[in-house]
Amino acid sequence: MTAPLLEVDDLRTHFHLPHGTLRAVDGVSFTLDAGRTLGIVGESGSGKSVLARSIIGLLPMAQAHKAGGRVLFAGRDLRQLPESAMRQVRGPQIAMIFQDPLTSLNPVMTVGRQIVQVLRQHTDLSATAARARAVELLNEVGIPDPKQRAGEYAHRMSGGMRQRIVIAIALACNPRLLIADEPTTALDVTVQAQILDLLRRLQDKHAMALILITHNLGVVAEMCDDVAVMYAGRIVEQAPVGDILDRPRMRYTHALLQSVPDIDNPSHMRLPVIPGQPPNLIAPPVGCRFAPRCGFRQDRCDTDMPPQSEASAHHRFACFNPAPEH
Amino acid sequence: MRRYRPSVVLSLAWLLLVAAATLTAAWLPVADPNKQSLLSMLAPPDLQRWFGADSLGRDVFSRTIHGFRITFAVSLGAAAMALVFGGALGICAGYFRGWVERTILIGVNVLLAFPPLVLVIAMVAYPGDALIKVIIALGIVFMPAMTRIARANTLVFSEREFVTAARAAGMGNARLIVRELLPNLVPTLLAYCLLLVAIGALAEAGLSYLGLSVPPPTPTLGQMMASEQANALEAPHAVFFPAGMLFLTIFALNLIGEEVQRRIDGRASAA
Repeated sequence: MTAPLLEVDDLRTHFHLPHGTLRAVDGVSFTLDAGRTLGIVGESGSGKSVLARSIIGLLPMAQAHKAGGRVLFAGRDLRQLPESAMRQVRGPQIAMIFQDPLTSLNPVMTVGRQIVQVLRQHTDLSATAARARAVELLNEVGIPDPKQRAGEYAHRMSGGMRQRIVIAIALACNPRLLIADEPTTALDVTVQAQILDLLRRLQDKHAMALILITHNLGVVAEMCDDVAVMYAGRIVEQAPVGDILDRPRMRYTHALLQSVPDIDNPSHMRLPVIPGQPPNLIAPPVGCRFAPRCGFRQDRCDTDMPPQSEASAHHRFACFNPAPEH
Repeated sequence: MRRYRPSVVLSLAWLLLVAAATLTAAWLPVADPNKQSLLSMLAPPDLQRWFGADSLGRDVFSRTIHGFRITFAVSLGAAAMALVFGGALGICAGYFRGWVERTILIGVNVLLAFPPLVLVIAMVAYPGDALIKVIIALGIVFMPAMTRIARANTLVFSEREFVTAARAAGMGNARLIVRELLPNLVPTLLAYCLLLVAIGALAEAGLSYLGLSVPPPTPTLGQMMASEQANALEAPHAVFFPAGMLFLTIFALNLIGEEVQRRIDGRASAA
């Protein structure tokens, strides 16, 4: 078996704030093979985005602290690379797309130039060749009339088109890994489906690995090979997508799946919710971080950190009182 | 394309006229601004001397358009200096944050705490070319506000995702600032710069009125007003024309500045 494309090992990213240290990502490990799709799910503030930005090294320098861990990408530890070397990784090796296509494009630059700029940064294409390639890319992500659109500004395009352009920019240099941070959250449902479809098609075509950050379990079911569930800066359960959806073990994952509305339920039924609030990450609970909200809490959940147990070869979870396998 | 208001068109026309007259003052068929004629002391305006003559019989029209050369040199120079240095410092502060920002802000606050007039007087007291000194002094006075505006806007745009996205595509700091941030900042900074040109023109007139700007015999508007004010009742034209020209010019600059500001705001809300 060959080494995985990306191996994240005990990654910790902390923020030094005036009133304490916020442990946004606190000991996360996972691996991702080339061409596979990993979904990272979790509620707002669980550290998904910080995890993504830690991998690509895009954290606000002033407060963010690399508290430990390794990010092995194709054998190199990205955390040890100097910024200048990281710039060679971002783009041709790892690219990232963001949640809001309204703000991820420069409002005062034509979309064509934004693609050309990335191409010129990482390849030695001539200006003319880069422009031709930009039009090709726009065509590839399904922009109608790409030649004309390349000369336009982002504000003349719809949300879906802008996200397509963002994807075109990200794919300009054929990255081996694409990190998509909630790529469809800001879009309406039909456009979401189109964008996901596009991502999957391009992923197959370019044999690219994908990390998909989302809080939408429907997107996970649709897109992912594997899923990691994050809660309060940790991965509490990870498994192939079928196992997570059908046989969740960790109580948080279980509760999360329970809270998905079921279309067969009568419409007056109240939606099940997880009571309480996610913990304060400056002073997280000592034991299991989900314990204060958990309906199946045992005494040791408050005091001890549950270790990662294995349900099967690829299914790991951290829970003292897991949901039974059915 | 929005239509221009008549006030803006008139302002532009006026500024162009004054600028043209100023630039070509040396070649225009006007009297020598320093040629005295005791026979025509305080002569009222006539067809020969449109603005009349001053207490030494010098042609006020000629002196006014020559005086505008200093006005424009100082106001444009100081505003440009504030734009370049203040803008660069502000962008660095807003972009790099941390100790860079703290250091720059301390410097800015020290400058702000200094009374501007004292600063200018101290600067002018140094030996050297008066014009350069006045430009530098006003430029220093104008810099803090420009630094703060540049910093504030950089902070706003650095937080926008397109900057992170560009960084995620492997762009370095220099490219990011020049390609991504600067085009977004330029309109706001230029609009404020235009305002500084107007303030600078007024400030230069004030300084030369106090005798702190370029010394005689070079005519400057403030110095003309200062030397002729004693005769203001007898011969108001010698004070009134330079003052009126200055007023109209600053008024026009402000109207245009306001229009530029309005268009930037309109564009921001449309985007």
